Amino acid sequence: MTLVAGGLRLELAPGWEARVRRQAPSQPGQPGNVLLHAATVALPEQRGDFGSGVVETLGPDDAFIAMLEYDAKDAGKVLFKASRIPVPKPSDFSPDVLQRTRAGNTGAQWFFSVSGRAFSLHAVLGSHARRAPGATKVARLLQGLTIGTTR
Amino acid sequence: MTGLIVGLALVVLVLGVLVAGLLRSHAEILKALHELGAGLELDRAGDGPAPVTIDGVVPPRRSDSPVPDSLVGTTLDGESVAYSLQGGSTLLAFLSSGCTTCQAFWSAFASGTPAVPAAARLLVVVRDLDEESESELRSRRPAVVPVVCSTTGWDGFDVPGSPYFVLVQDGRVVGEGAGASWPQVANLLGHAAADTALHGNGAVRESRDNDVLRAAGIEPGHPSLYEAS
Repeated sequence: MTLVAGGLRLELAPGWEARVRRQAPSQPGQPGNVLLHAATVALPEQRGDFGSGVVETLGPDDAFIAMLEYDAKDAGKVLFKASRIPVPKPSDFSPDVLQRTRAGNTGAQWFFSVSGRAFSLHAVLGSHARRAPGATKVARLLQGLTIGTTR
Repeated sequence: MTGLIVGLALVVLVLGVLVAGLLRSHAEILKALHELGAGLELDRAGDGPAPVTIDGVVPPRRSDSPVPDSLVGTTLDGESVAYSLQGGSTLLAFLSSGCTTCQAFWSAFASGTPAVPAAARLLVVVRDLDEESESELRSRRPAVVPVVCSTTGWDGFDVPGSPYFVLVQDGRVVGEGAGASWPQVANLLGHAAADTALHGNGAVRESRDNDVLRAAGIEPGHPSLYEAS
């Protein structure tokens, strides 16, 4: 299963579903930056950029990611100096890295730039205790992600 | 006396014409059945059921025919989406903006998510917007049930027309069909889901067979499982 949109190409493993939409443009007349959501649970129509409406439904072995694109001019900033798509490790995850603290959940966040485009990646796992298989699951998903230069 | 004989002869003649007509009608029926592939000689051949194709009737999907593992498309808001069909239950409602019969389903889905057989997730699938009336779709869009534009989804499931419903469980089509109203379709697919639960897919059958074997004292690794028959 392949999802191609907004210059992204994502090969999805069975059990994952994904949606790509554009954020409101930062400048009038320009295309909005891309927002990718992927989860092992159903992604509802109404959901927040960082997964509100989704993370509440995560089971212990479920995962959710939100990848937000920033303006291309930000790609050169030190915040986005990492130049490859992250490979999540269990040690990256902490219950403190959540937009909204929820018992049991754990999260991680990375900033990076690829193909001249700046992104942040926010990942949430359903269980901090089971972050090892969860991190592997997210890492495998990201292995199937390709970011092109064209938005 | 002569009149009686003539009368009887006429009656016999009329009856003869009637019998000849019936025989001819019977022969034409047999010929038509033969052309449809259901002739009597096929019964003698013993090669299994003969496929019969009748215009306007959708042939049943073969149980081993491949089905898409996902549904990929776009929403009416321009969001690109990819749904996995490999796990859980999903009911795909193939509707269109122009079909009159579909109106009953748009209305049934308008205000919320109806009770869906097998507690499946309901997705409305329409063809891509270049083949649909976007304004009609926007006016009929349900409040909760997602609408996905996916011509590839229609092609992947060999959808014959709209409305058409396909119930997918764990990557298998367990029921499909059409109806004039949502209660009809829900009833149809509810029976299909119940039949699947009763007779089982692979996992159910495996579990049931394992229970029977354990009850007979045959655990994994038992020598009898490896004896040549």
